[in-house]
Amino acid sequence: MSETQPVRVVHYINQFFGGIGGEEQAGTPPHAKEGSVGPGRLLEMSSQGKIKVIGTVICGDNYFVENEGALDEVVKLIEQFKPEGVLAGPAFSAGRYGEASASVCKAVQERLNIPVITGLGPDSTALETYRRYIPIVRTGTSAVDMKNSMPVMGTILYKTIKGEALTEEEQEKLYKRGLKKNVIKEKNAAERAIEMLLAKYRGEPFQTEIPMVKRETVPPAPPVQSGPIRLALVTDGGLILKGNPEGMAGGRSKRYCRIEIKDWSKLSPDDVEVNHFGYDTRYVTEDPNRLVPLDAARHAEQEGKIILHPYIYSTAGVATAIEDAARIGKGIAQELLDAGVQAVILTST
Amino acid sequence: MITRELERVGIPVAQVCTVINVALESGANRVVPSQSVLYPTGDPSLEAEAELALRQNLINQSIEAVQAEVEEPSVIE
Amino acid sequence: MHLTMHKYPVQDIAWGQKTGYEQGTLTINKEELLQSLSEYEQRWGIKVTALELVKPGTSMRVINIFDVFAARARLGKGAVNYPGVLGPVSSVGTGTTAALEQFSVLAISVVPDRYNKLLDMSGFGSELTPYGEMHHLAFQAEPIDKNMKNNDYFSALKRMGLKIGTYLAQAASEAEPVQITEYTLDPRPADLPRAVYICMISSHQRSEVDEPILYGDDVQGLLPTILHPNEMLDGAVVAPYWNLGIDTYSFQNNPAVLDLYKRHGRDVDFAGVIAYVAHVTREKRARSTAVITNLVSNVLKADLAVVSKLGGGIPESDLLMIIESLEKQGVRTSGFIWSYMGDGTIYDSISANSEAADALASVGIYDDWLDLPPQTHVFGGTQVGPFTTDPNEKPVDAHQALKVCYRDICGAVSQLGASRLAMVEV
Repeated sequence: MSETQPVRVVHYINQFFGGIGGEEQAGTPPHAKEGSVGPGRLLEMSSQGKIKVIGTVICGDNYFVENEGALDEVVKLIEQFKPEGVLAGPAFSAGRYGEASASVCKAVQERLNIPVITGLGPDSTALETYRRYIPIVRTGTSAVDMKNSMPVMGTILYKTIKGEALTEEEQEKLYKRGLKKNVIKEKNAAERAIEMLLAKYRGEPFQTEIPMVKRETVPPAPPVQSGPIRLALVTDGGLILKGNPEGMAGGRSKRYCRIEIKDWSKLSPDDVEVNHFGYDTRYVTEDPNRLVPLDAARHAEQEGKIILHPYIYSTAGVATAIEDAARIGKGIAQELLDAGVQAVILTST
Repeated sequence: MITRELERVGIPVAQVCTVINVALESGANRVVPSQSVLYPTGDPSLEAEAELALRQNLINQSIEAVQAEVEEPSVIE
Repeated sequence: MHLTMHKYPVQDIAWGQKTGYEQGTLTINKEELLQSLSEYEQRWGIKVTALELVKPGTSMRVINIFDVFAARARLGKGAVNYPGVLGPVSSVGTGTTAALEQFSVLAISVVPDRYNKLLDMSGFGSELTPYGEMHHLAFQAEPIDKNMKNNDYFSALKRMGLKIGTYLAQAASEAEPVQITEYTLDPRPADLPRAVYICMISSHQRSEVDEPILYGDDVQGLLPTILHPNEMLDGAVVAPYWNLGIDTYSFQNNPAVLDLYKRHGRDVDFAGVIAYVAHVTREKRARSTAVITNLVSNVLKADLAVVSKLGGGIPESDLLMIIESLEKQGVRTSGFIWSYMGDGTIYDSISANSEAADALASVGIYDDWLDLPPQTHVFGGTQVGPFTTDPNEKPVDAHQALKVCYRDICGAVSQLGASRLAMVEV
């Protein structure tokens, strides 16, 4: 009997696929429905009885990305169904929906410890962040691909729940996790580089060992108008208070610090020092204005060009993981935004 | 990375740095080139007064940078 | 240039009556060695306080390693070893040199420094580095004057390590060489692509005035310069103080030079080595790239270039700028480079990016962690660490099992491409 019993799955979708509405309904808060909705029906049908969608959790795209508690709410709703696995999306190349689907899967996997799956297009912005944590099926860029990708997601989720091995073909439908490790090769690195060089010269195939990645770019922020600009000084050069009372790391940073400068006309080695293991810090330690130009900024302030924010923000930007760097950046950005700062001079080593 | 997050929320950033190709790569849109990684806003070989002048110059350039309309990652000298 | 290398492969080492090489065994008379060094101890201001024979497969951990040296002696009347460092300036790369193979001299520093390396001779750590399979003579030396400046101490350690190597190789040269290798680029092969090796020899992110690097020069203002590969093999380059996965041994046995030599006349015409440094000012960096591009494409007229760097950050960006610039000139390039753990994905591995750099070999992820089993014997100190940047972490007993980064292991992450460690995607 247990052989024919379907696996019990919860499906996560956004307001659009949930049939609530388009962009005008993107603020819809999370709520659960019994059984399958929209693409969930395709999932059940294509599984030929192997998958039962016991519940569907729907959340608006905007609500999810704008509310910090949304993820917790969604996971709680999912948990109530006591599912054996969760399928989110597929979100194809949609930005907010992709982020939501992937982060729901990651959280469910971590907190409920059950198999998850989602599907994203190759240009999805969530892909790079989540591929190493959760299985993600390679989908097309839009819902046109639904009928192709949903059955694949279903099969892989079913097999994972049942502990069955995936076929090679199914493996290939999943994005590589993109993780890395050290191994010992046959030849040393110099020899391998020269081998590659000759292959390249001769037009033979070769494979670089360090892939180059075009980083995400952000459109330039609009310029500020003239008149005294509310401006903050920021550095990734490892400026810290003298004696490092906050215990800031010299690299692989996880956080930033705030140094109050409202009473200072310049930076003095009596007040601050530099902790950064990526460069020789003796010159900036000797005169910290060489790292953060407070003295010159005060001049500009006197000339009425700027109004200086009363804090310098600092971290040591070496060997810092992208995620940590992004989090540090977001933290500083939020503080400055809240304080009404209009522009930043960031000095970088 | 910090620059990218600041620009993302609409705060223009003048990034004073030497390793320009890395800066442009990592999301800086307004790069103000500096002399050295060891002292982005200074130069130990200069007299104090000249060094301060150099810094003031970088500040002025940076202020111009955040007031500049840019379409893509740019070096502002 | 024509260099004849008399090679003495070391299969065992032992203390004994007479310093010399016989049937694979290097015997060292400890007292005589120390005696011969006493003159230099006075001159350089350091005293050799301990010596240890280090053998593969033994439960031994050497800690606080500052540098690794090949044991070489230039033979014949008037031959100067390490000109500019141990003797007057002249050039190297021609003549006969005795070389102890599969053997090195390890210099142990008494100045605590997170860049000092450790070497296990058994267990997982020993499998990651070519030095795990070799024999070594490790020496520890202390400043005679307690107030000696670190830079003077480091310089003295380098000289002492080189000196010990020449002493041993000189003694070995009294025996018949086991193997003789000729290093010459002549006759130049026709119709093969011309290849150069572009080798960074110092990064001024962290360097010292008077650091003996190229023929004793501190390369502070170095414009890229052309070396004959023999010069590098014969002791023209000594590793900088800042040990970021480099050592003098890997210049003397430079794997890129040796591989291009092997392919010389078969796959390539080895046109030479370009030594360059990472400068810290924008103008100097741009000048370096411009000069290298010109030397490679117009002076050496090379078709192929393999590029390496040391240090991190700026040198990475330099390497990519050089590759971009050369590719624009139609020179095909590859390189080898280390990577960091970053966010744990293959895509977050180096600090700079360039689409022109499409052929890079990996020398490993330097900040990934591994576990080392305990070792019975320790040389070079009693405590090691901390290996993290956590200010609360304290040094620990050096015998115990350790958690270290790959870069902490001597020779495992080699920015000169000498180890077989590599990053792979999983």
